[in-house]
Amino acid sequence: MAVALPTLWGSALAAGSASDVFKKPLTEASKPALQQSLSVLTASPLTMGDFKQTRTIKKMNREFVSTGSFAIDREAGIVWDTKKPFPSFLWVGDNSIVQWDVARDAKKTMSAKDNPVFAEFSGTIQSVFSGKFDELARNFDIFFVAGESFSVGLVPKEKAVARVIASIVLSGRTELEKVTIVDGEGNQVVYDFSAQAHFKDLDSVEGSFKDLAQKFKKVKK
Amino acid sequence: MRPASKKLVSVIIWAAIHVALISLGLLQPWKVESDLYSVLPDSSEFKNVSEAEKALSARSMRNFTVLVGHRDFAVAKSAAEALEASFALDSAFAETRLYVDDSAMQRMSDFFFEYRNVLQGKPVRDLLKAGLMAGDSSAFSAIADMARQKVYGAFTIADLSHLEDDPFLLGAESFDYFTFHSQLMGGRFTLRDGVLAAEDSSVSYVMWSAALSPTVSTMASDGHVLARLDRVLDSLRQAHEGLRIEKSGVPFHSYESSRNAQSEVAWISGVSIVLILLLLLWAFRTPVPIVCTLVAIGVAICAALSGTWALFGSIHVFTFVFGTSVIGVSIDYAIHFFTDWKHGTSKNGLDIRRHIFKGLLLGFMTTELSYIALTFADFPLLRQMAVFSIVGLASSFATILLLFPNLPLPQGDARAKSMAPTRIPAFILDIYDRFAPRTVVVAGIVLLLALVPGVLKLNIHTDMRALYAMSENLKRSEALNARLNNLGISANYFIVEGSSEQELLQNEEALVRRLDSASSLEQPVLGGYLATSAYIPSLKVQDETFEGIRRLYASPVFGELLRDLNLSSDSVRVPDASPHYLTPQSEIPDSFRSILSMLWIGEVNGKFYSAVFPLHVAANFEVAQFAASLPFVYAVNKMDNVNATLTDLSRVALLLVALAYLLVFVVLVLVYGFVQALKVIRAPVISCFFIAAVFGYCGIPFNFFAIVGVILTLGIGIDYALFFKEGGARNLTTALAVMLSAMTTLISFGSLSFSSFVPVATFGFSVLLGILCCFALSPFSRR
Repeated sequence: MAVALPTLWGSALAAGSASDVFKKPLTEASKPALQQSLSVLTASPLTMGDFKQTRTIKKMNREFVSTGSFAIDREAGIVWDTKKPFPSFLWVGDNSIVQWDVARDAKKTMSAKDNPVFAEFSGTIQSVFSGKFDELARNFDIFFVAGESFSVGLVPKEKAVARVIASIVLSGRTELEKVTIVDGEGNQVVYDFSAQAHFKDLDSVEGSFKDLAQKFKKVKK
Repeated sequence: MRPASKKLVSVIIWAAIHVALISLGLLQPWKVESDLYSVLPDSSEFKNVSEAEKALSARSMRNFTVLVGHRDFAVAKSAAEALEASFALDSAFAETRLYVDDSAMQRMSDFFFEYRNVLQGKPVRDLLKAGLMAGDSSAFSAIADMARQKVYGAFTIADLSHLEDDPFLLGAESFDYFTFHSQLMGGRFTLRDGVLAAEDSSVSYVMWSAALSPTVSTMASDGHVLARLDRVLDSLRQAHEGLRIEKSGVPFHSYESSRNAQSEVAWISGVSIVLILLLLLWAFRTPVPIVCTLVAIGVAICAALSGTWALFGSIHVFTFVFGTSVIGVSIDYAIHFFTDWKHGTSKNGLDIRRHIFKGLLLGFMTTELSYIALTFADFPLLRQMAVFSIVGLASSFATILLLFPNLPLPQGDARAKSMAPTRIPAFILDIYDRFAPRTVVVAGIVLLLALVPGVLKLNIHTDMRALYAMSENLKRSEALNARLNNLGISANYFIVEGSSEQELLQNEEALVRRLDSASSLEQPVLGGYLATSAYIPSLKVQDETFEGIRRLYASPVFGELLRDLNLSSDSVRVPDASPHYLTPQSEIPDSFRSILSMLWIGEVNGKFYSAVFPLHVAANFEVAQFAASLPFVYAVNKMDNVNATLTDLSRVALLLVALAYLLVFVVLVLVYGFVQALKVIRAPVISCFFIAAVFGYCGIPFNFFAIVGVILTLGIGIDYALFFKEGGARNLTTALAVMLSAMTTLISFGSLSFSSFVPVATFGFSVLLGILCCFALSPFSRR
């Protein structure tokens, strides 16, 4: 059964609350609007910004908040640079996932090529944050509400996955602003995004994200 | 005693012997083996764990997988569901698996949380060890950082509900290590719509796996469960256009082999019997000898089957093939009897027996001696074949001596109504008579010299791999399965022994340490391994892990972590004074239980055994090298072991038969004197060199099955020379009998050389060559 886990892990990254969006399943009529909304995620070759991650544990009635910067590169993958309270750096590429302990300069690489768990993980993360509709439709039932802002609800198709990831909600206006992942026990992780900036590629990055671009280039090596 | 009473006593003795033998066989439950592995010899270094290995093989030989594929996943899944519905409740299956349990993930997560203080992967155990040994705070800090990463890092699915019970998140760490980083995750199968599915060349394959019930034989038969499975698969193919079915697993190979062997044996035997009957009809021009010969053959086979069954409890399908020699020899004896009846001067059956008795007895004794010699070989299959032949031959001999002379055979005109065709033997003997003795000697020397280079080129070697030709369909299916599973289980593995479960686990850990160091080399010779101790460590290792974790909690790192996680020390549970141990008897999630059932052999004859399978091994990986100096670890290189053992056995069998022949020679010297005995024995001996030389010249490996052919040639080939010796220089009856005997033997064994089953073909070719040569040389032994 161990081989049954990949989709679960992968889908585990994406999920949602009993938000209103789940009352509106995606229809053929609403599909073009969804694709239009997702295009905000795909329009730029490189999006960088800051994030605030709030992990809520229902049973303990506790919240764990961390902050940092992120980068979504259409070609090279996604980077999550958590700075506070505990620094960690994660790169999710097509063929590998790298956890980089910047302080100790120790990299832990997981090959997505040889392990379907990591391949699914990588694919799902990229599909959620890069708005790849086909990938999303393969693993999730999709719900969609649009107005001034949009909300995309995702519910994993696999029942086994649904026990760990009940739902994901992506919302925003001209940018992806918030992602909420809820597990089967009601615990949730909320990502709030801010200060998004768009660049042509890593070499063209300037300003506050220059350091992140350097790290991104270094981790890719 | 009056002659009529004597006759009756003979027939009663014959009937009593056969009724007793056949009853003995009928008392045993009938069991036919088709799998060659089940009867293969144990190599010397492997004898100690033979039972354990057989228990392991028996388990793995029942498992198989069917991949149901279609370009449309929904169609593939629907067909797989129909398959599951057809067999889920079938008693011929121990289990069938299609759906993945929804709660499997949660159960695994609970399991790793429960045993977090004793069950950790190597990276954490190494850090704990470093922390323990040198008070290395950075090692403990690294463990705390892993927890911080899980709490504050991105995209982690660690269950934080247990944070107060497990602030280092050791349960989540263990879960990650044993599931996502497991070697078992290397395949392409993923969970899709409640089943395991994988993509290959735009086709979605759904996995349906099953295990046959231990009571199900893998021998093909009409009502066999695999025949039923094939019918269901065919109907699914018809119902879903473009459906692909790929079957993988030992049961399919055994079933296919036995099905092919059965149909082949059926047509080969059919053709042989028709040809032999036509030959006999041509020779005798009356059905009486044919009917009697068939009775003799039938009775001999029944007796041989019963005797073998009674002694071994089962019979191997290859014994049947070898057992055709019983048919060959039974025909020979019957032919001699009826040729004398038809063509000789004997007045009645008793006269015939008197006339042929000496030659027949010597032939019987020499053949039986060869087979008896084979029973000393330490190989169950060879013994079984020898016993089958010994009993069958004895039955045939008894039929000729006790039954045939007492049959009311037609006499006078009826017997001589038509002459047997003696022109051909007369013509053949004329040719032999034209050779001057000196010419014969020179020709013999030239022949022997010509054989030398071939014999020197001989390659005595048995390679089982070359003997099994997998069908193209099965080959393709196995390749696809290996590609999609990508587990890379090595055919060579280890069996580990211990006097208790704990000693066994500790012994495994000693082996695993060696494998770990080999897999972390710059050029690793293996990619990993599957071992029970990786999932259920010995109590010693569990104690070490537990002690490390207690020290971790006692270290300053713990306080720092509590501060970073904003946890109060009052609310956090530190590990108890004694650990909650994990043992093979503990409740283990099904997904791991199924792996452990493949690895854990358990108690066999008072000792405990388990298997360790290397994964993704390099070409230069040697199991024996890793087992060296570990007396409790046995390297199982099954194929090489079997090949080496069969090669050794071939030599032993030849030596035993040579010794038997020496004994035969002594008997012949006592009966005929040295020179005449030499003349009798030279035909079969030269024939053996002839077989060897032809195999050498043709570059065909002289394998175990060819050597069995040589043994058979020695056993039955001497009869021709003996009959010629007894028959006299110009006895056309003997010449005709030998010619008919040789012809029937050549037909029955020659036809086997057309078999697609390589061992049978090799055996048949070897006997064909030997009998041909024996027949050609035996007239030189005439008086």
